[in-house]
Amino acid sequence: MPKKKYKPNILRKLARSDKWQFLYSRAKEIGSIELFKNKNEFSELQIEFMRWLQVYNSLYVDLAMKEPHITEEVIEDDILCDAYLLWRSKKKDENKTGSQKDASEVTGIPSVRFK
Amino acid sequence: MKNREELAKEYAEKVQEIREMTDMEEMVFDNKIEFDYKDKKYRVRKPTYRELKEIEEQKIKKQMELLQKTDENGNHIYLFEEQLIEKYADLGIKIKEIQDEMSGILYKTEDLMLKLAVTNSVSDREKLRNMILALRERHAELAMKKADYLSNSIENQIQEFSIMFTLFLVLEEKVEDKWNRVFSLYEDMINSEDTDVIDRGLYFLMKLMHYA
Repeated sequence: MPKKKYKPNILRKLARSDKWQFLYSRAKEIGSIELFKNKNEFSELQIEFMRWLQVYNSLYVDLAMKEPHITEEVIEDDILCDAYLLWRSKKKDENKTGSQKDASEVTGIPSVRFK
Repeated sequence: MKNREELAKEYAEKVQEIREMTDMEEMVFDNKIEFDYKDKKYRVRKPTYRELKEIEEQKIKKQMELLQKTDENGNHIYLFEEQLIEKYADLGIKIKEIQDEMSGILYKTEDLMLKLAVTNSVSDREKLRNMILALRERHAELAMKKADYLSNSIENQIQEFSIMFTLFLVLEEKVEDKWNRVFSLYEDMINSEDTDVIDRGLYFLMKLMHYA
């Protein structure tokens, strides 16, 4: 089956690039590296970009930790990446619910969830 | 093996992508983007707080104007989305059905994505990927259809006005090392025959404000 083409999201492509991932990691470690010309009053675009920097950073961590279902191909492909992110968030939710259930079984005290 | 035409197309796409990446990087770095048009330098920048306040004030004015507009029989010309949806329903056009189909597509897509995330088979992966893309295309089609029906709603008119008014404030041209507004009045921009520079400015503004 031929691979259907789609236009990749340029902001995401930029955020996962080696250059920006390197800058983001250094900025997190050192703190004095500024990613943008402005130090405050970030635009919607910059906030969205920072969100993607963080997301891709976490994906590279997953890759390094050899987490299941994550590969370079997944990171490079927006569709595969979205699928992995959704699966990861569902898994985290399940784990959270599971551990809450376990705790209530052990203590006998029903857990209360605040929304 | 790819033929010369296919290779040329691929090359052009790659060049375009690099250009878009460079533009995006420039915008992300300092919230501005410069572009050339007819031997002049133009730029679009992020609005200041004062300008954002002005946009909000103008939006309220526009809303009042739209709310008060009536035809010769005293009927309101502009309606809110919810009212328009009801009017369309009376004419047999069910926008609710479009919305329901869109929600259904989102559920289906999520289900396929969860399958795609864990599949190891290359053929299944391609199949699922293509199905997701087809669903996304259908979703975009429906969103466009819905937007067309509701394009004259008060909400949409205000949104459009807000984008154009923002452009009027932040579209600048370089004159002797100084950046000046291209149009001194909003009406000048709206009535301008030189739509190319407006379209280009609009393209970058949509990216900068993350509307698109």
